[in-house]
Amino acid sequence: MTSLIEKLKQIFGISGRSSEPGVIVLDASTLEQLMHVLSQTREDELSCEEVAERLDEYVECLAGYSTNNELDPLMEHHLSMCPDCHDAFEALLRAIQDAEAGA
Amino acid sequence: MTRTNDEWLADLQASGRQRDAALDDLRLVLHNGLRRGLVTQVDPSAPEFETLVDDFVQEALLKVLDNLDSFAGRSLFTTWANKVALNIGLTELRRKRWRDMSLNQLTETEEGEYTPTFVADNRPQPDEVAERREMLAYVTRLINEELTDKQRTALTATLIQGKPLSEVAYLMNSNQNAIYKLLFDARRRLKQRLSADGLTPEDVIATFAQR
Repeated sequence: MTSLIEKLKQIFGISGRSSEPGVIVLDASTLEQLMHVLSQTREDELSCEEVAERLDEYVECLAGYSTNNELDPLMEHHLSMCPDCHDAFEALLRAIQDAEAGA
Repeated sequence: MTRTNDEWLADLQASGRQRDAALDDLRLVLHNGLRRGLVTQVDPSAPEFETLVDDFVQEALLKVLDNLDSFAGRSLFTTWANKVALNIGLTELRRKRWRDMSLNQLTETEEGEYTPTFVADNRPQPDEVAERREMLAYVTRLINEELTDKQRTALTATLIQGKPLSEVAYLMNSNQNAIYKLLFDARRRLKQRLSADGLTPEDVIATFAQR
């Protein structure tokens, strides 16, 4: 019978997902990525719903349409943590900035 | 034609030519907004681009009309409508991009479903120091001990596979907001445990920065 140690040794050669079902190998690169995300974690983060609700207002502020920037730090933080919301932010900013420029 | 927010709302809730004209104008606004906004997501010269945009515009028009009451007036009406349209477009594009790679590839085998378990990478490296190996084992233990099955699954899908949150949500029968919260709770939990053990994420990173 294969010992647990030997079994683990067999799968240690693969980074990320191992060949063993359900076993994820935590390599140095993934760990550093995780620690960077943890270091950015704060108690007062906005949810995706809150960001989506305020995104049009926030984008207009960045585009110079308004001066209300009370939410900037928390919005900015969420956008740095959530790739989905960041995509939505960039797309909307591009849409209205280029419209302004007449593109 | 340029309209104020109130004029947009009034025209879209009117009937006959007034409404038709507003719908035509809004269709054009959304079409142009989607073309500009999605330019980094889809190649505008691709043959399917115009069809995709037309489909998104149709869906967005219906959604905007159904949700006029939720427009709070904190931005231009056209910015709000573009937000709605781009959300539809981005969600659909993500689904198309990721649908060939389901979460099942990560959580299901012929023997049934499983929840990801983490193990530390123990490959010998020429410049490896014992401290790094110990740190990998320690963080691995933290993940397995502190996180729920769902948190580990979502963490794996986003961190290892790089999946978008919305797609992870779709595959886990949830929604993007709930997945963000799930991951937020997981991050807090791991950070608290690190702190309880007298460590910070920066301490861990520093271990691997030593060469």
